[in-house]
Amino acid sequence: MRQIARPASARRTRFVRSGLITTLALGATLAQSGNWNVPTESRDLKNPVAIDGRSIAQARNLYTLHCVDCHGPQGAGDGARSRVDYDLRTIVDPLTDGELYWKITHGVGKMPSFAGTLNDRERWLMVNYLRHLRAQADSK
Amino acid sequence: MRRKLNIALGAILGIASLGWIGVERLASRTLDAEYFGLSPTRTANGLVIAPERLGGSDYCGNCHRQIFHEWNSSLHHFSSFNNAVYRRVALDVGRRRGPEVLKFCAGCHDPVALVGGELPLERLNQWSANAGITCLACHRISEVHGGNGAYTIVAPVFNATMLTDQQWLQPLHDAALAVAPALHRRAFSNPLYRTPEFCATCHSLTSPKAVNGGGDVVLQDEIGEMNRALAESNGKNNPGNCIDCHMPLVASEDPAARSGFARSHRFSGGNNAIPAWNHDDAQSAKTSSFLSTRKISVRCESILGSSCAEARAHRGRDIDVTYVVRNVGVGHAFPAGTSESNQAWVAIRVTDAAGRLVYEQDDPDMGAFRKEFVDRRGRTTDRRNTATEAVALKSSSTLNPGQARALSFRFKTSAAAVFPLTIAVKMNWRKYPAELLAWLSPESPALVAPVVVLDSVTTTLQEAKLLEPHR
Repeated sequence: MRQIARPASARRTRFVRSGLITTLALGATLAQSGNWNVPTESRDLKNPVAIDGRSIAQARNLYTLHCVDCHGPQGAGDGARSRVDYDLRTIVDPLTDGELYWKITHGVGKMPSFAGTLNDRERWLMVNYLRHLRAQADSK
Repeated sequence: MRRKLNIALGAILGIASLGWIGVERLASRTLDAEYFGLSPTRTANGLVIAPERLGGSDYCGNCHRQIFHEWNSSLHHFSSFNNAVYRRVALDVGRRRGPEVLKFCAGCHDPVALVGGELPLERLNQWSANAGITCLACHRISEVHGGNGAYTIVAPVFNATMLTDQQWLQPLHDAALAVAPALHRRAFSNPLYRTPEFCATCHSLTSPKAVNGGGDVVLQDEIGEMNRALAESNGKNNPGNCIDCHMPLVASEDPAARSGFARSHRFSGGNNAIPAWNHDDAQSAKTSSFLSTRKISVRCESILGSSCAEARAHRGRDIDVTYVVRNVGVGHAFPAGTSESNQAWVAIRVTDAAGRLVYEQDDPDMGAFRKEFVDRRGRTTDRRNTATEAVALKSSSTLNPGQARALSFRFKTSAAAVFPLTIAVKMNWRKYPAELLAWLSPESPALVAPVVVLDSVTTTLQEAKLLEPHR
């Protein structure tokens, strides 16, 4: 059977169309995934700060000072300055202390990096406070 | 018909673009020379670039995952108030000199807040003050005019933060990328970015009279040092380009990779402290490896005037040893950057065959390689205040490319010492002195900067026989 060569314009159209479909699918997937990926070695970091009444009180002060404006008093995302489209308490469970520490340290998107604002111990305190908020939500 | 359609489409796009530009211009505040003050940074059209337009590095990371993760750990990310040292020094300088002086620093340390018209800062924990040098803070620079952050930056057409928030726009961006990938490359890449002059816009620093109140003083000039080394060696000692060392090609599947390699965006350099404080093991390991791989060598030159292998010593006598430290792989002076506060020193430890300590010197202020600057009152600017207060270079013991320096030590063995002696010499590196960190972090425990051994050499010294000379 004789092959009929497709005109160059048709080939270009097909190329662009398939490129568009691939890119749209890829873009949609990636846009959802975010970039919170934490290096493997940092996931296993051990929290050196124990959770107790004193450390939670310290952490609450820090949370009020630095986080409540966006994340809201209970972490629901209902901050007075800016809203966050997720509830902190719903994301804590699957994450290790190391992952939470990494995220507080590095920030992402609109979440600032707190490596300069909070010292090492204070960042670990915040990790504990996130666990505390989660536990409080459970107890209600 | 088709031609008419194209013309109509072009006209619509043209009018829409002009309209967008007009709306943007009307809505944006102008940033004039008065606003920039001591900073030579400028925006291309003289308008504010809203911080979110230079943000969204994580959005870039959706496709450029490897490069994003490298940058995320790098010192370029931690250049702003998210860097504990910069933050405290800036607060101190701002408190003493007023917030306007910080604009001198901001073009390189806080570019997003500076061109966003947000300085002086309202809140230190706002996003733009902790953003560092974002992807677009570099990849939208259109021109460089010299050091001290003298560059021109252009607002991006697409707003990454808006694209993240308004996901319905994502397909438009993706479609444009699929149809014309060259537009994306042209928008965010530039041959300028591969030149030393591009890096030098922030890595060359002269403290001007307007800032220090005394006179212009050159503080950092890596590009000048590279060029001088090239000239003095008649072209033999070619240090290459900044990116050859600080952005080496690494295996990559990133879309920006060519033939499976892309430039590392870890920007490895002298700062091994911030990655350590961030518990970022990967960045720490890369930085340590970078520092200790063929940069500085230390070799035993002589013991008692003889070659190190042939020297013999008697007990109870003075022993003179000489070691040579050479800049073998740093393309600019060593140390560079903030060479007045970096610590590079030779440490020596001598033990006898029984494991007893014979002699030790491990003092970062002795056998050190550094620069010392002074302020208008002649005081050493040792609190990272050199950029804002130094008026003169007091002394320099840095090593230019290829340059070497001999360091001599003298020690005495006791009559009970058991030979052979082991002389271990290390070339140590520490980013921040302990005294500086104690001042910066009064809380307990104070920050501690880790020490990296750049090179080391161990020599064995045999005992001289009874009638052998002490040499």
